[in-house]
Amino acid sequence: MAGAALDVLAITSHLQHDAGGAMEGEIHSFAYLGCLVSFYDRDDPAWWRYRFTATSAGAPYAHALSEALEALGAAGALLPGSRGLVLSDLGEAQLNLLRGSSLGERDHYLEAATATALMMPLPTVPAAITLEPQLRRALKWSATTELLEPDGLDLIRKQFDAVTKGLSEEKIDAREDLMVPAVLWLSYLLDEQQSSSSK
Amino acid sequence: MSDPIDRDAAERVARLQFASGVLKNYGREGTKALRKLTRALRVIHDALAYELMRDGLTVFVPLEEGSLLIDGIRTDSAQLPSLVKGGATIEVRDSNDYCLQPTASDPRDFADTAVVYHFDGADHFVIDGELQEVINQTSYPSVFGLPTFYELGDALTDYRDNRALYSQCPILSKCWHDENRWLLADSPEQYMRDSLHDFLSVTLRGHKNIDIRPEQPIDGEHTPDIKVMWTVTNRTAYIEVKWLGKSVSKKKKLAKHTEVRARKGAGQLAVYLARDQEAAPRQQRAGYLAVFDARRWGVSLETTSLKDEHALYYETQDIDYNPDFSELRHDFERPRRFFLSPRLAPS
Repeated sequence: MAGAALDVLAITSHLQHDAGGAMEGEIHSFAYLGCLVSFYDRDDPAWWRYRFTATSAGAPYAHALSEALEALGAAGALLPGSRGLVLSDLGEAQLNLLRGSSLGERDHYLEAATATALMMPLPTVPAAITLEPQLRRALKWSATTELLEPDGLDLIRKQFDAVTKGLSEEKIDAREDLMVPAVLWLSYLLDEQQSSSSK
Repeated sequence: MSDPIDRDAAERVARLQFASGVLKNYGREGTKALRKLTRALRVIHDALAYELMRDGLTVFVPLEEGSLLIDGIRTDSAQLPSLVKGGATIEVRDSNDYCLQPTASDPRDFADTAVVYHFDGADHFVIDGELQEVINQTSYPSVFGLPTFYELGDALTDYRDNRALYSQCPILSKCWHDENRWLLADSPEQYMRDSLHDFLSVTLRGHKNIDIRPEQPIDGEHTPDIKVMWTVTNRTAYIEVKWLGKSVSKKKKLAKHTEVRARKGAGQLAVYLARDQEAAPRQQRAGYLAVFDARRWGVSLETTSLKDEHALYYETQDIDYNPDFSELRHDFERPRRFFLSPRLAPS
């Protein structure tokens, strides 16, 4: 699936620039965050094209991304580096091609998602994502579950609205830079966890 | 039905998250400059130790690309440590291209035309013309100065050299009974374990979960102190924490742990790994023994002075493990010894 291929290449490119490379788990986590940011922006969960599940270990996972990772690795578009996966020249060329296609808009959301790692320590971002209510439920029940179900999305929408309420009240559109609602949401999940563990 | 949203947390985060403040003050140009600024902060904090910043560090990125707000020395990160003494003002011009004034300044002076960061023991951004402290959920002074690691082994090496050796970690610094760092406080292992857990949580990439395990054995079995799980893969690492040296109980009694304690810890970990292998044969596991070594030669509660060579007697004395489980088991990693240095008298 070309959408998943672009996601793998774009996330790898962003993390390669800022952190030397991307780990496989990080690709699933940042793609999931990008998907949620696109949902916040467009209110259309089907727009992302592929589905995520919560593993029994409470992490987001997309089969489409795993397949894309394997295919891109076999084609030589992704290479193992000392700090995770990096793009080869072929990978760069493929990414540029996909960015110029109708799928290119996805990178708008992936850039916002990966830019959150510039605002907090990188390992904190995937850790905060695991605090998302649907993922927390999967971990609690030790069961693989479908993500992006209507109830779960409704709660995520409410969380995004709550953290961007202050900006809205000052007539500032949080969508002007989607990195901002994304980092506010992650900070909210961390804050909520910290307050509940200190009670 | 109760509100599923924690409104207090949402309000607190919205008010204090600097990215939101930057968007509010400067719009999209501001958040674009903020990306450039935070990328630079990682490099600058890596180059300049917090202790070098006694008088304050100000770093900013002008909103208008190409505009120059200060005159100073054109430099890069490699030169910063030799140029900065106590305080600095840095304009970020490009990736690893800075204009430096090696003196502190009022960060608010630049906030009309730039996104401004300030460090004076904690991270701040200038928001609404005032310094606003950054939400920092780590125990380190800056969220921008933390290294990240791909491999657990590399993270443990960095922890040994840059956190444990001089007890720079604020959690670990609580494990001492005295300022000279000769004797440990009562139950020091909790600080050692928490310090290592905190460090790994914010520096180790790709982990899903880092748990501190229950202190008491379950079903008669000793569980290692820290468990690290990774996303996607079925890798799990167990870290057993032990300490050597002398600790002072609340009743002012000394408890002494010698290297026998480290060998016992190695045995416990090997037994645990063997049982875990039987219980979950498809799991990839690795066991690490982390030994915090606070041994001093000839120290007691009555000691009032200690020669440097006695305080440092064990600095290079590795522990002789017999049997050496790292040779016997493929999942038993080489034990790590974190020597905890004493505070030495100025020479």
